[in-house]
Amino acid sequence: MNNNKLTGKDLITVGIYTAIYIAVVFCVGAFNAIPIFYPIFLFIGPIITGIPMMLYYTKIEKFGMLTIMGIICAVFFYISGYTWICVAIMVPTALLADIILKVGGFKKFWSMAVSFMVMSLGIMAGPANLWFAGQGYWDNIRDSMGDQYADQLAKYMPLWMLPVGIVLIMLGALLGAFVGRKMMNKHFKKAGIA
Amino acid sequence: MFEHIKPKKFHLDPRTKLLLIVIIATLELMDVNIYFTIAVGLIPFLLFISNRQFLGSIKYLVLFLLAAFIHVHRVEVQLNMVLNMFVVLLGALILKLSPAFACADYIIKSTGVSEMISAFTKMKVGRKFLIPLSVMFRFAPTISQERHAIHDAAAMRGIIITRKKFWENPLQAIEYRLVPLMISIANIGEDLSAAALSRGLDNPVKHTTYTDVRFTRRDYIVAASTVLFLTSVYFVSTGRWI
Repeated sequence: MNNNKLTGKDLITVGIYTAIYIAVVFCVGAFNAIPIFYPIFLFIGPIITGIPMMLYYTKIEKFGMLTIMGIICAVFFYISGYTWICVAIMVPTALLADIILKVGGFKKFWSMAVSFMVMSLGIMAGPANLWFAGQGYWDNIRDSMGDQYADQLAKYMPLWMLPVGIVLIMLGALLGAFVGRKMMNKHFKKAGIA
Repeated sequence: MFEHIKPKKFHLDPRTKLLLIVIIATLELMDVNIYFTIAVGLIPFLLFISNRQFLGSIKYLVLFLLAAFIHVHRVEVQLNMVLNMFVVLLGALILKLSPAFACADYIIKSTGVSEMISAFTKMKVGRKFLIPLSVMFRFAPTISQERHAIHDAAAMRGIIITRKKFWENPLQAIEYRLVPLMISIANIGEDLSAAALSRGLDNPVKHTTYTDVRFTRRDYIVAASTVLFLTSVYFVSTGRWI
């Protein structure tokens, strides 16, 4: 059967890798409790998620798998406290990543890498709240996390971090794609799962 | 004929549980005052008790009340700066996030996968989201199990975060953790797809289930009393009566 509809097997794959992706992002993102890690996370996060994501990309043969992943991630991050902005960022980036992969061709390294770079922009959802959710979000942080944290956060995350952050994510994701490919050749192909 | 599977314990419809977690996740981030936050935090505790997760409930309550205590006294006590910041921060994170996480833990432990699926089907969630979501439900415990096993194996080789060997080459240490996890999860996933397919997952007809999912009087009582409790705490603690 050669059709473009998502089969049960594809959907199970989406579920598995979404679970891993969320788990990894959460573990790495926990370091955000220290303000200086906020910008560093944008760079390190995509490098580490590169390993599971590159494995996931080798299993994608149809349009839609990345979009579903993005929507599920967005719902998850909404529940864990990142306002509507995370939905507004994660869903379009996932859709765009999906389109890039479709146009560039499945299972080709460069289209996977560029698609992963766009997909990773979704983790902007965390810091984006600082700039777009308004003063209320800052008041909330100041009240719950204390003045020291809020001041340091404001110091490390001014508005110009937005373009810098995007560049950091893109670079991190590119590096992550290479790391992922290396892992693929080193381990996964040997184990017969890539 | 087959009987519908009847729930045994104090049992809520999965849709009620989802409503509760949405309420908690939305309200815990609102800064009304400490009484309201504690009131929100009490709900997962009661849910734990209702599911007989007594150990979890005590751990959660102690942690949460400790965080609330730190939050109340955060201005009076001044330790040295780094330590103070760390403690206040940790307290705030627990205070803000632990209720939703505890609630999620309760939902995962108290709900069977088939029950969750029939609830989602009744909520008209399409199968494109249904299958990935139920796989994630199935995988949350598996990931943590595998992670612990890998942690034990890695600890034997001295690759744990407290040892010097870890910091000599952190990237490699991450590789040693993530790659085995990925391999075992990918293999389990293959098995899972095979099992699901042989049970007719791709069959396009409407699927039936033995699990009985419907709202009972208990669900209405729990939902109504939660809303009533939170609104009354809100108005009493802020002193604003309408």
